[in-house]
Amino acid sequence: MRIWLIGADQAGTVALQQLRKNPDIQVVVSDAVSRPKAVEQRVLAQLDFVESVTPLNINQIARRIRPDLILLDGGAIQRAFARLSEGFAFAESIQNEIAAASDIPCIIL
Amino acid sequence: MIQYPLQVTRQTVFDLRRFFIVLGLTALVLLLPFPDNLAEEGQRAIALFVFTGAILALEPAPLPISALLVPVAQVALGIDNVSGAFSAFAQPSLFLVLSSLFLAEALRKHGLTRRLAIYAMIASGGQLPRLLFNVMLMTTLLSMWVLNTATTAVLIPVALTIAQYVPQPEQARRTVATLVLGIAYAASLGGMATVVGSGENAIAAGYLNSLRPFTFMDWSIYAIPLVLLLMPLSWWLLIKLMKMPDLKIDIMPVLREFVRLGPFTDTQVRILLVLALCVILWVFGGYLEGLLNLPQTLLSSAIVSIVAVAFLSISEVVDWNDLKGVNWGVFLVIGAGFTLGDTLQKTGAATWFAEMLAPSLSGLPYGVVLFAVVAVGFALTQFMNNVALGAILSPLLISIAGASGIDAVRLVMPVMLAVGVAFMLPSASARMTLVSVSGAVSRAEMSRIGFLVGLPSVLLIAAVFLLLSVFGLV
Repeated sequence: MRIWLIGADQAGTVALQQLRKNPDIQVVVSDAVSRPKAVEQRVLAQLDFVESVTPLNINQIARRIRPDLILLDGGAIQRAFARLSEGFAFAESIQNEIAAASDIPCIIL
Repeated sequence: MIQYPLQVTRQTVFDLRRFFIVLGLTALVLLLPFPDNLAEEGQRAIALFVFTGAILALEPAPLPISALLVPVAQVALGIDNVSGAFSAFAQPSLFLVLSSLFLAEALRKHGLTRRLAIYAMIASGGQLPRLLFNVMLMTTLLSMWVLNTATTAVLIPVALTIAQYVPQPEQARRTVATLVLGIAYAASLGGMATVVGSGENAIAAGYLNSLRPFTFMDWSIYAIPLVLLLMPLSWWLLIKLMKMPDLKIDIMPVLREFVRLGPFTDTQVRILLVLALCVILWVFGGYLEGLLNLPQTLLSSAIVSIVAVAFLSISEVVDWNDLKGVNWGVFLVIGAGFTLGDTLQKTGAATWFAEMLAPSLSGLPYGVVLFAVVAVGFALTQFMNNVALGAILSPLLISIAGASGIDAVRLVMPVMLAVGVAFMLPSASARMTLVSVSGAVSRAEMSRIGFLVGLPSVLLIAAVFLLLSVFGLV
């Protein structure tokens, strides 16, 4: 099984640690920043790629990666917009739209 | 398909250099020689005015924290004690804004904003200009009753999803840019329509109410018709300027999403009922009070708002945890605005300012003063948060109105409406900041389109008020 993990913040890092328990699961990890929490905490040496995922490009990137499942770390997006007025609502809406736009099953962590 | 990086925001939390500029400007005012007809206390109030203007414009700290420093400065300058400094935070208008925050959160949390956007898309049949109109209309109508930034925050990502269904990349880019700008403009326009729609309206209404009874409807009776003119104007200008493709997109994915959402839930119906009831009581509360012989102000907009907040909270539609990401800052900025106005009045600084302006303003035709202050409001709002600007301009405008012998409503309302036309820069409003971080519109495009849509809008606002004054309707 191939899983694409979008965002390697708190929840993404925990998910990554759990998914590694099963060697049959292949995880592709991306984030909008090059050194997210999973890299900082050395759970992951480096990301597979650095890219901002939006409702607009989710399917295009997914066609390249060919995952069976997408896991979306909401914390990573919320962190990015935390200092904006209504940043929380904006981040949550971005996550919901990414999940809604995705042709592949997408779960928000 | 094209990609838009969602820019990760990086911002210094505290800028010491800017803070020193604020303190320097304040100290400069204190060191200037006293004008003969201004008491020492009045001069300190002018210093507080400069401090407030500088700290809200330069934002050395996040805006809400900067706003909280205004009453602190009031005490530090010896103008008032702590009770007096914070008493302005108990203005009824602030509680209207509280309900607006709650309602916006309830709509967002329970997916009503998104659901209504999906209805708007389906009703357009996928025809892009009509889809833009429907989404803008829906955004305008919602933003009338709930704080407009919250609506924008939910709907900009929906615009990104819509653009996914436009096959050709350049057309998709134009579509997403037009939709994102349309949503932000419509939210700003909707926010103008009522006292609860935007923070600067609440501030202005609070000031006007201190001069004479000024109700919820006193604002909306002028603002709603104007908004109903401005919204189609913005839509038409946007389509022309952005050269939005006249395409019909496939709405099957939207229909699938519509089916997936299912019928309205009980909670969603309850929220809509509360919103409808609030709107009815905000509009007809005063009339019902008289009709039912109820205690005075029992059905005032602030009381209605508090009851709505209490109901939403006890019925567990929204709890305090849900409000952690809400734009609380606006509450504090409005409070800071009232603190400033209170100080200028109490110390006589406002009278001194009006007397100073009187020789140059008295006798000037209303139209000249109107177009001048509207132009100033429109220019400043592009560089400054519009709630903060409303806080600074409102007491100033009331002084100008006094000095020029013009009724305060005739100046305060058009300028506050012009302040809402903050379309050009990310710094103009929280909505334009969201447009900017969506990456859908370049800075140059935002400024160009913002100017070309904003200028006719403010000219229309000024022209309508001039016309109303000619016919003695304002």
